[in-house]
Amino acid sequence: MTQTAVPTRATAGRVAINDAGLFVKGLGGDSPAVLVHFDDQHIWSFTPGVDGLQRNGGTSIAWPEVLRPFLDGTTRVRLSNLDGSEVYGDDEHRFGSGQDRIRFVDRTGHPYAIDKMGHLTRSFESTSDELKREILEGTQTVIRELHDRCGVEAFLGYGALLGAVREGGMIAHDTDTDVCYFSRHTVPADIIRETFHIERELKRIGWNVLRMSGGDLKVLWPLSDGGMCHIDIFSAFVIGDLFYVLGNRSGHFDLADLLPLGTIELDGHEFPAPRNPEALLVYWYGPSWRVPDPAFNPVEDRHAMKRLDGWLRGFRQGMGAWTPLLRGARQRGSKFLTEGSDFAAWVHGQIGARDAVLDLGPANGRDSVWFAAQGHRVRSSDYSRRSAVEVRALARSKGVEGVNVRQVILNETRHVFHLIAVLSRHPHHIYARQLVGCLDSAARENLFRLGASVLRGGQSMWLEFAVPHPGARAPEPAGLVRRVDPAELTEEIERAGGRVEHLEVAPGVDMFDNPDPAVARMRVTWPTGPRADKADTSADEKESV
Amino acid sequence: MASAKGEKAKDVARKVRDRVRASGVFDRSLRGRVERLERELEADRQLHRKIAELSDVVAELLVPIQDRDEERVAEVLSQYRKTI
Repeated sequence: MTQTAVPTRATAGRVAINDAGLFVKGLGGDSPAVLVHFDDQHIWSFTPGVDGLQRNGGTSIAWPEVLRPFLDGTTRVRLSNLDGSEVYGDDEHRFGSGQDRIRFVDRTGHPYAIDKMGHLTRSFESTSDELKREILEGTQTVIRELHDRCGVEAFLGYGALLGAVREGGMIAHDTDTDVCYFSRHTVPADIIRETFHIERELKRIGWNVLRMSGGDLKVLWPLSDGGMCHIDIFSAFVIGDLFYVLGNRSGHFDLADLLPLGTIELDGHEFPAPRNPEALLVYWYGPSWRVPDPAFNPVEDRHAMKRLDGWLRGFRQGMGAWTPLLRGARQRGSKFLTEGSDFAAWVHGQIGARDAVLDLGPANGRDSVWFAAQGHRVRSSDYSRRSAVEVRALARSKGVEGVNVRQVILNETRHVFHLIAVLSRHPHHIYARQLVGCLDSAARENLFRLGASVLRGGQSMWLEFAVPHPGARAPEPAGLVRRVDPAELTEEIERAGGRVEHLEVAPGVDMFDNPDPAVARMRVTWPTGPRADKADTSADEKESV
Repeated sequence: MASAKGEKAKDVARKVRDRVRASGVFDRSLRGRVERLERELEADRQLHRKIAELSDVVAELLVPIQDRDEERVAEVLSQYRKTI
């Protein structure tokens, strides 16, 4: 990939394209959405005034991150308005040095599209009727289980409802189906607990469910072609005098337009729907909801967003950025190394030969696998689900057994409490290389809570992290890890009852083994003491609990 | 050069701000009170998640673990992890 800058003018014709992005002359901040096609395949839509930068009488915009790995070869790039009545450019373009035509498809050969969030997905336009039917039936099943099993009133949401009302079918450029449910709770803690209940019930029937926040979940619904479709489940609730719908919508809304639910037809399938769907579409998309806009970006009330962030979010910061980074960890040219790090060898030399190790934040698992190869029992826990895939693959490729891979989200206190319950029965050292610089204060608090609870048998917490240093550049991966002041960290550790037994700061390396002028190594212990499970529990106490 | 001047100006601004804040005048001003309230409100909002998570742990994990039946505890732990 070249380091070209996004073009800011077009010297010939109306459009300039390079490996970094594109420029369209004559498009201003109020121009309508632009559809981008590669060889007649719709791949992306953007709104100039929202997504692009206006300069030199036109709009510049970078290619989405997820598209970049595919930009190597030739394709015909067509840029047009929504109905194709105005074509800004329609020309062959060669990206990178590839000789073949660009194929923007998944591993099963299905065309990809890029959704509003910048994620890879597929659009209904390029989905077969058979798969559309599977997606619609899957959505019906999700709504039915939400009602029957979880006890909430669910209905078709967002683009799916819009398509049903406006066109009677799925919107061609849409990429997923959304489901909403109305929560009768009016306190955020209860709304979150309700999502825990829903998540638990859906996982119990074997579904693949992701938590996106305290108010929305995602079901990964398997399709017969081996792919997955995403069915988002958004909570809707009333707090104070405002009606909220995840994500990020808020405003005044008459519940009489929502309940009791009615039904609506979408591509021949019947779904529960708001009693007055048009009213909810106005709430979501404004009064011009009847005019198609594939790059629609809602104007969100920033005060309401802040409220929702405070109440419901904080589980997944940065997770989206780690996935593509880790996805390439086994490819040639990846920055991730596969041999054990110096820090791992340093720790190995100081712990018992058979001591168990919890590797927290293992990324691609280079040290998890290395510790296991040295004979340690290893639990490898990252918050990224992609890490689990990479760690298992690395262990397999090296023929190493004994790595127990389990996702742990340090920002999710439930994960931490579960880990405490497990590790208090099976003591491990806690090893975290270049992790603390990736954590916010809530996650660090949970990390040290974990240490305080499970390191009571003489085990230690071993930390390596970059520290502030005059003139030092940001450690890699830039933007995902920051330098941490050892004094501040020591204070947090001591607040959690721990003691820094060893601290050294010296030149070292970052996560990818790039030289770094200031890297700290720290060993932390907690005093041994009466374990909670040895506390007195008389029959009376048990009864009074 | 320009950036060195800029840094110096920022330093001066920071010192003035810190001095004003240290005097307590800012804290008593309407803007200071609103800022403090916003910070406290944000911290309170985040408590909702903690309460929800702790209630879930108590209901699903702690109560069964109190039974002290190791086999049952192992099963409860395993089931709990599968559903969060």
